[in-house]
Amino acid sequence: MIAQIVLFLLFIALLSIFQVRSLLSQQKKKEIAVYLTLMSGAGLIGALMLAGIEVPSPAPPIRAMFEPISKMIFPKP
Amino acid sequence: MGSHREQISTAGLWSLMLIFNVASAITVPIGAVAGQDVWISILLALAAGSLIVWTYSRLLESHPGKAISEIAEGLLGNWAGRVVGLFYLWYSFHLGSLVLRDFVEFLSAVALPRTPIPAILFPILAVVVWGVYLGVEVLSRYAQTIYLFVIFEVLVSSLLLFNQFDYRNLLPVLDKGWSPVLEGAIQITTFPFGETVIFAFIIPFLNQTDQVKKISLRALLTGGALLLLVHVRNILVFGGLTSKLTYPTFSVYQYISLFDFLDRVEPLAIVTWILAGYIEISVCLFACAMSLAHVTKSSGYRIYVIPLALLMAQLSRFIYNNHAELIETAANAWPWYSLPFQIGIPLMLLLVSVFHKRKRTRTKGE
Repeated sequence: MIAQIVLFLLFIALLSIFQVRSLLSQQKKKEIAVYLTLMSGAGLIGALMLAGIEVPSPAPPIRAMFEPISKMIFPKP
Repeated sequence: MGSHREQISTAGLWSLMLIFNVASAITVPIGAVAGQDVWISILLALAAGSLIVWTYSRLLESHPGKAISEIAEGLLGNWAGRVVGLFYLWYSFHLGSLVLRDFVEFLSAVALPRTPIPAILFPILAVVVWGVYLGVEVLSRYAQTIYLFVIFEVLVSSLLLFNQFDYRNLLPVLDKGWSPVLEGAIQITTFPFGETVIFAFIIPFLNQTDQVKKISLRALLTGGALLLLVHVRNILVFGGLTSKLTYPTFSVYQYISLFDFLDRVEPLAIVTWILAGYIEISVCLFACAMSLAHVTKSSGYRIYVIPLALLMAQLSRFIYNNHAELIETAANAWPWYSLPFQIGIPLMLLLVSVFHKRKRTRTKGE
């Protein structure tokens, strides 16, 4: 499991270095910041998933908010 | 790609929208709650879907070359533009991960049951990233090459099933009243018809800006006709059983059998699923990257494609614990959750835009 996480993070890091280098040569600072934020998010979530820790899903709150509307308009016996 | 501005033709947009409409909806059951009356639901949903499509295409047609977040920025100011951009960023991201989940789930259930999920997920993701990276021109040309296959496959499979049809399966009509039919209609309106709202990030690339409404409505009607054919065919074969099947179209293909010679054609359903599903995932990822580029005012969307694709793949894995949860959410929460994105925001922007234009002509007249 630890080997998997290390490999995954290595993969993310290599991808980032590769892409950030091309951005650096074009002096795109904002793009680099957004890119690195997204990539670190992907690295973090991926590591958590590989470690078997449950990542909070956005589905339950969406269901809790919108299912009552459906039940109100189309009541099921 | 440099200074060359990407452009897609009307035929390209039409085929992209057509495939996007039918891709997953020809294989998964839609409006299952309506049972054998699903054809009424599809017809009602086509009417409601035309309203949604008319609203956003009217808005985009009156602001040629601008995506929905740029229109909001022009009408309501910088921050409103960013908020609208964020809304669609989330919507296309969420939609993309759901489509990806569905895509992988189907392949793993019917075709590759012993293959580990990442081995299905990452190859398709790599091809999607590649396509989106190359741009919308490439995606539209891809759609133009496959749409004939999809239409042909649906028509021929329906013809081959002719000997299995039993028209009594469509009876009784409206046996449980209008309520399930209307519920089914709302489900079908928001999935798949209304989801084309994320084309608000692709339509600006159209080369003939005055054709947006015509092309979008035409794509919707063609897609709707195909879906009607597919789902009526499934019901004519399976009857009441249809709504209980996970993948009715796949199951119906197993019934194709002609003269003990032509049978076992269900891999065709898998081929269609892969070819068309690719468009659906790519369009979502493209819209997602484009809206992120608008929100952050970046110079291009391409740099965000890989990180967004990775995040999309991760969300697709942890968003639901199992298939039952997916179906439950898709049927009960998804329609109401997506209505603001599909009709709320575009309608609001359209009203503001019409109001602005009136005010401008009035001040000019004075």
